Amino acid sequence: MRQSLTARRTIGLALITGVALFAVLFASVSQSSARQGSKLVRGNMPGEWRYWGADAWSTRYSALDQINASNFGSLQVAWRWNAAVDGEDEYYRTTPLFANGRILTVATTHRYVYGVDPADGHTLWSWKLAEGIRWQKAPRQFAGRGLAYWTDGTEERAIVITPGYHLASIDAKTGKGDPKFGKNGVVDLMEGLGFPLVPLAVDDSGSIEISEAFPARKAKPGEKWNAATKTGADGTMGIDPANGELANSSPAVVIGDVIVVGNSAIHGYYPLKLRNMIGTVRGFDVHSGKQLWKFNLVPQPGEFGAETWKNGSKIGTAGVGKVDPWATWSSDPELGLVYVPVGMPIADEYGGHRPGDNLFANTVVAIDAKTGVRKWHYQFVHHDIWDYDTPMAPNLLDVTVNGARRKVIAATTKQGWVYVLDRVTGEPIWPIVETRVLQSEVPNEQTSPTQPIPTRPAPYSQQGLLAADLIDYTPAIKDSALKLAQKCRMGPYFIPPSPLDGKGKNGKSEYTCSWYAPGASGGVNIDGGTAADPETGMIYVGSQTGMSTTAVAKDPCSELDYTSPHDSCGKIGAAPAPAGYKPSADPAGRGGGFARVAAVTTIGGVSIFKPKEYGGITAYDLNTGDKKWWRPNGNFWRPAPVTDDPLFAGVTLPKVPNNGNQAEVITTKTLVINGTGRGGYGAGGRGGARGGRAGGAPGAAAPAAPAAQGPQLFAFDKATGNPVGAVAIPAFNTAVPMTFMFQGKQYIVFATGAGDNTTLTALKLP
Amino acid sequence: MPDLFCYPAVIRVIRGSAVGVLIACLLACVAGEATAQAKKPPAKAPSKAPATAPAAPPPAAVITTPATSTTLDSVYSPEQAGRGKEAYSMYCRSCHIPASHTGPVFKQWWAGRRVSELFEYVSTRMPKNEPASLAPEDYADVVAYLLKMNAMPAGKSELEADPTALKQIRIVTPTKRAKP
Repeated sequence: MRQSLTARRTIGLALITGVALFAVLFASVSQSSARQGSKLVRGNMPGEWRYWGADAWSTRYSALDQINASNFGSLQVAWRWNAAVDGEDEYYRTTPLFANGRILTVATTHRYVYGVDPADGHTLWSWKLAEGIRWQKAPRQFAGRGLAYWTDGTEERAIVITPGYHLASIDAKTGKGDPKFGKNGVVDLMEGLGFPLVPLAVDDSGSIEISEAFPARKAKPGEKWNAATKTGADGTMGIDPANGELANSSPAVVIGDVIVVGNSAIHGYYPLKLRNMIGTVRGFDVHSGKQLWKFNLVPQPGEFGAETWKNGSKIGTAGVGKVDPWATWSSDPELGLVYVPVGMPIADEYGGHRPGDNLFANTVVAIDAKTGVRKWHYQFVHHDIWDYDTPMAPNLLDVTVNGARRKVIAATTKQGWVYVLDRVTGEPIWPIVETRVLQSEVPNEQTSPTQPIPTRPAPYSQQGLLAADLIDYTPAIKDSALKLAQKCRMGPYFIPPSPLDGKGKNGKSEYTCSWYAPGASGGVNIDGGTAADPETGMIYVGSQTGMSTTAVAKDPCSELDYTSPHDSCGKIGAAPAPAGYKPSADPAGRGGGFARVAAVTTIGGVSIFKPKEYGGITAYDLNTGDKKWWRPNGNFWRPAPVTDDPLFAGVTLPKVPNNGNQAEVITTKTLVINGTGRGGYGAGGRGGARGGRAGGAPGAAAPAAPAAQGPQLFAFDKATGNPVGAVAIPAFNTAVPMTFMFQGKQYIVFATGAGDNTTLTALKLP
Repeated sequence: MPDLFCYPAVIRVIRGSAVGVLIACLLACVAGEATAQAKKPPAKAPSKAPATAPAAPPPAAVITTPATSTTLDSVYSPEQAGRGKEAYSMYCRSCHIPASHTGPVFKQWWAGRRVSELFEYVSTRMPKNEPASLAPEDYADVVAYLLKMNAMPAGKSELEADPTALKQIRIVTPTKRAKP
């Protein structure tokens, strides 16, 4: 009795102590939240830019207004930070963060991390990780889109996912790895996926080649590094590359104290193998780096959605691989949900080996950040054979639709539509109708009978190709344009790629090429995307519109029956050449084989496509779904094409808008700020790092003479789209800009350049 | 309508186009163009697109007119190759590794052909997602960088973004390959 009384007392005491401890902890958490939370708006401190897309909602919106229509043209370069001090990059695709008085960024192909002084652009600290073969054979060997940031009001962390697939938590004040996180601040993301880590080796000194030629391999027992040939085993551990490749290109998302992490994969143009690693979403504790949960983006047997892989979804099954959440993400801290845009399976333009809708490919999945449980998902493309990855963080907004306040998510994608969903339930705000679409002629390809087509808002890019899209200034012109267009398969949207060899399901195929719009580059793609105004419910879509053609063919040394036309024979990692194989005399056979893919699209130098208000910046009011205004990228118009073709005698041809290249937009209190992107087409200079491009989108003429202006940043009135300013910049921006306030001055910062000529460039008022 | 492809003589190509549906017609076009253009004097680099229709680079034998120089004659400048390297980093590097267009691979596909063929190949088919999307001058810079990567000597002149001029230059690979 006494004993039991003592025991009860002990339990009671423990309970009281526990409650008291909990109360203390709770108070401490509340205090911490109060220090941060009361001031935070959508996860961001006003005037700062703590997420890749400004805030957790990926609005790319700042309420700052020091830089406005009255002074935009007087902006000056405040400083330029050399991003290539420690090495070169591809094009510098990073949008930096600004948090608590520091710019945080990544740079170089190694994705090193830096703290930068916002007033003068000097380097505060740097953090570097040597990844050996894991880096050498990383499929995404570039600086990446940027970083994530976490703070409890005292401690601050810059969080990076490296090209070799490590997760690091770095003290944002000092640049030192957090000693309590993983091993010296680093967690190996190849652990925790259910595969053993093995020693890696290489047979060549170069990088992996698109898509998966020249890979790493498992080391042989006792294999050593040969410093002369730069081959062999260097001690790096990783998942056996025979299973496929993992990589990363976009930052993690931090929600509460959970870091949510995804991955990217190989390019899917010319895969050699029918199997690869699958995409996953995982939660990690921000303090310890411990893995909390894992969500499979190819549902494994028994998991929701596994039946959408009719030949099986188990890792290692032929046809299973990729489905990687490679783009940037969004989150809603209040709902505790992270919104994950998901890419497509292998291969980009052929899916005969993976019949079914292939969940969770081409979706946005809403996942509870604490538990890793799927709340809802929405699939934009069933059984993708167009390379229509979901390529961009969706934008979150609260709008009033038919009198009711709605929490919405707007996903702008390569397909050229805005998919507007309730972000609590995933239900469409306006009907999205499963609509019958064209079916493939390619043997064994089982196209989805329908695709979801939004009834509202109207698209922002050219959709497929119909007779009504062709120039029809006279009956003769109409007839000529149609005859030219009919060389490839036409249709309203989702036109399946055609078999290049002319062999269809039942003998000869009707077509050997198909029109392809918006095309693999979008529409919206990772360089462009959408800014949202949380105050008004407007969105500003930066996109391009284009027209190309597609076809698929057998790569003689790939396991797949069809890929984009290519010849991989002789490359490390490719299958042996079949009996009787002869390499093509045409370099196209090796380089890409586009020779017989695309078609001529001009007559006498005049495009057969009607100029349209597509690409550039399209403004929508998401309270109503109405398109409000449109401007070409950089507000740039080409003069009407000049032709001596008698077909056009007596016809006045219209001027042609610049609807090529991804417009890169952010928005402030009053402005839409538009960087023209790495092509810089709209600003008229020459291409590459220096300037414009001479290609064309539908309606564009043949390349025109470069305009006089060099690289510029443009500003438009948010409400009307009227141009209100432009300012010359030292080089074309290569990623979405950002803005912040520091010591009473508003800055606009953007990445420029490629190779060993990369910078962050900062503008401010004089 | 094959005559549509060959009439008028100038066939321009925009992004996303590239390349013939009717190979025979296009090859005929190119052959015709080659003949026609060979008669013209080398022109100043135009600001417009190459005037020839894009097609598979034909066998070297198609161009029978004598070349006036080779790629060993310092036909590009270091500055141009530098610009080309930047454009290459910007648009090409994500898909290509140096091994795919240097050394034996480059020699196998391009030795004996004309620089105009390499220029037209790159400028009408690359990058994959957006063929023909750069300015002709940028493609000429990229070609200069490809020559540099293959250890061909630099000099004072620059490659012009003009197929007629580039047709005068035959691709000859050095016997010893330097590091790219």
